[in-house]
Amino acid sequence: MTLIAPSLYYSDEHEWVRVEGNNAIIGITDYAQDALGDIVFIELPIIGDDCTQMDQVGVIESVKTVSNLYIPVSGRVVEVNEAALENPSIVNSSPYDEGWLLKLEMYEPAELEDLKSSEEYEELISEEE
Amino acid sequence: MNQTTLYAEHKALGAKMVNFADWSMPVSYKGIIEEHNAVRQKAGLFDVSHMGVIDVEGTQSLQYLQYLTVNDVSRLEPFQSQYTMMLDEKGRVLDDMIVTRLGSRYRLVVNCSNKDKIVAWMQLHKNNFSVHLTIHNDLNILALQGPEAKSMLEPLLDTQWVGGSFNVMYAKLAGVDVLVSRTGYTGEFGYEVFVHDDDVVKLWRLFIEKGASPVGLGARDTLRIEAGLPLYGHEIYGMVTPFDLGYGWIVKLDKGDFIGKTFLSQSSHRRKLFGIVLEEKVIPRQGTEVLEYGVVTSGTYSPTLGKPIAMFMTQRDIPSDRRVSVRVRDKSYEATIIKLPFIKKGINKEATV
Repeated sequence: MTLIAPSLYYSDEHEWVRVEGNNAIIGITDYAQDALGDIVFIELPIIGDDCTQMDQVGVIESVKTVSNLYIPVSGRVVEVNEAALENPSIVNSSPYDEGWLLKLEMYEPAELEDLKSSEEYEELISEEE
Repeated sequence: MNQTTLYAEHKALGAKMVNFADWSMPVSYKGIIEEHNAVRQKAGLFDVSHMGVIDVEGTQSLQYLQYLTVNDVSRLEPFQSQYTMMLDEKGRVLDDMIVTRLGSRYRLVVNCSNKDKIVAWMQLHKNNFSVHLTIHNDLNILALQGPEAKSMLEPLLDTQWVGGSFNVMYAKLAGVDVLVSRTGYTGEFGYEVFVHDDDVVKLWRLFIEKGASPVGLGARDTLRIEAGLPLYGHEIYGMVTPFDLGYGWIVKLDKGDFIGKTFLSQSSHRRKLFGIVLEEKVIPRQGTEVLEYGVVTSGTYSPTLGKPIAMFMTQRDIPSDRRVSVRVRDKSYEATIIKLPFIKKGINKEATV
């Protein structure tokens, strides 16, 4: 059974967004980490990078496949999770918590409305299964 | 999709299933890295029942198989196996396989993805020989591989195991009739056990109870790449010859005529397989360019080395430790040449017939 945290926003590309003031914390969902399998390498943007919604900003590589990381809302990167870069397996074991990937200062919080609620995301993944 | 008899067991263990050559097979259970390490450190259990098992019987079985394969089947003692390949007239490899001489017949184990093609090929060529083919759909194959495989399996046999690598033996294993083979595809000591549909669930559960970890196709691939073993569709494709792969020793040109002999007699050592290791955080997968040398045939993450590894084929000779460049997603990364295999194998590696 896949985990879905109710207070987050979700993208079609299986990323989640947690809002903290004007910042968006972004990661990949439990469904995504499970589909990927053992994650071994992560490429993320660097602090200061400008990201536009839907840009491909990084790469998540597991033993069996490579997946693009897309940005769900536009903003400037203010923090990246060094622990995840060092030890990508925490994204598998804790995708919503210790396995967060990056933090953005949002340019356009209204873009959050383009994303899915947890119920809508749950529907998306039940269709994919 | 086809399912093996153990399908329900895989699902019950929470396996992630994948469509592999139209078979629903487990790609992983607990995770590829964990399963891989279990095989290298303890014992892993694989369901490889999707592979094709074809028996050949009849007075001209030997002549028939000599004609169809590159290795010398006449050198097989009873209950002994050899690694071999079947080529077409132009020299194209149709499949790589194990041929085993049983009491009064021969058994071929072929790649799942090539089974239909090989069966059709064998039917096509059997008219000139007095032989009968049996395609076994009632047999399952369990592979038990790892340093603890011996202590796990041999006490369960009703008779003492005789022989070494590439020998086989009929026996009762935990009271069940099996054919046990000292073969494997992991680079570790291990067995492949042929067991009937009625008994396979019992043996599967028994090995797991004894501490073997269920291992899926994901780790099967990382294990065989670490061991430098070729896979059809990756290292074995098109006009690649056994010589190119470093398997010239399975080609017995002096055994008489066989399909592909003319091609092989005229072909010189054209290519060679090399390994590369990366210190970079990127996996060079099949198709990745190795600048100025060739293209990756298989690439993965090596759990044992903790680094990306890959194999590629090239016509040029390259010394070990040479630095080369690979091109992944439009960027160049450095890699170091290494002579295969990537790991020191656990099994006795001496060439058999």
